Amino acid sequence: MKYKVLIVDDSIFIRKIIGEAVSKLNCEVVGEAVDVEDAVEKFLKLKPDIVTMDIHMPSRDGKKSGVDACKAIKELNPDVKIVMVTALGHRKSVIDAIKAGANDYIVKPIDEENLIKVFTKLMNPNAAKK
Amino acid sequence: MEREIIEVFKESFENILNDVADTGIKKIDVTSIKPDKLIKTGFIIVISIIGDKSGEVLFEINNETAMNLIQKMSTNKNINNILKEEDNYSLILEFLNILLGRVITNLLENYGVELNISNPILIISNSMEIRTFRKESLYLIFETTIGQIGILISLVDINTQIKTNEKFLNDDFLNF
Repeated sequence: MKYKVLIVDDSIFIRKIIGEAVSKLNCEVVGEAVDVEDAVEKFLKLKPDIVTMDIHMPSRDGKKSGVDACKAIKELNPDVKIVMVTALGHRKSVIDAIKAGANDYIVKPIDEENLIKVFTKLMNPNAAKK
Repeated sequence: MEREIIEVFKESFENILNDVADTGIKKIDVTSIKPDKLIKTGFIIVISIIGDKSGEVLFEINNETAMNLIQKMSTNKNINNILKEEDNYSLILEFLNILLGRVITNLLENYGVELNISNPILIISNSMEIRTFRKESLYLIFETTIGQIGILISLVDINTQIKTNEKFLNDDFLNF
């Protein structure tokens, strides 16, 4: 069984990079979303196992971010794995993401090797604990 | 603080340009400009900054350099064959997003300065006039192997901003 992945980012550049990288794993990109509301709608529709979520992302009311989308999705399904993707690598940004329920995070520019490592850990949680 | 901001921008720009577009810098010029008009053409991207300092950062890239940057970014990440022409703007905006992310992280971790950025606004024009209304702005010109990229940094300390606004209210607005 392949892991279903939803990629959430307003930049097509980042969506393509993530899509190319995860396609090398046991994953299938089931959809892409471009803003906070689109992310929640696509999550409900596509029921992915893993979501990559840009933190600094537009919302239709101009008030929400990827952190809000992360919280909303985790409330809908606490078991889904969420990887936050951010250009901000400082501690505060990471803490905000983890508090919102994110399982892991990646700092831009995206390093394919690191992304694959994060995904492998999420897909094999028991192996990572050993 | 001015020197630290310049250093953070220079270091971050050099690293990101190399990481994302495999491109080097040949020369950097830094000038301080007074409020005046700048005539520019090509791509202008404006990003607002709020936090311990507030203001704008403006990037200006001519068409040829912008196309070189887009080509380098997509080739470097092996996605040049799956991008459409209309995706080009997304690459430029993402480049700046990543750059400012690095700048903000460095300023917070090394100097304790906390900033937030708006989503970037892209303006494309063959003839435009830009004016800065700050007392003074920094203009960094990067001569790269793919062409020239300019960054105009117009930031003031938040306390100075509040005082300026109060002065405006006292001097101008109330006497209107």
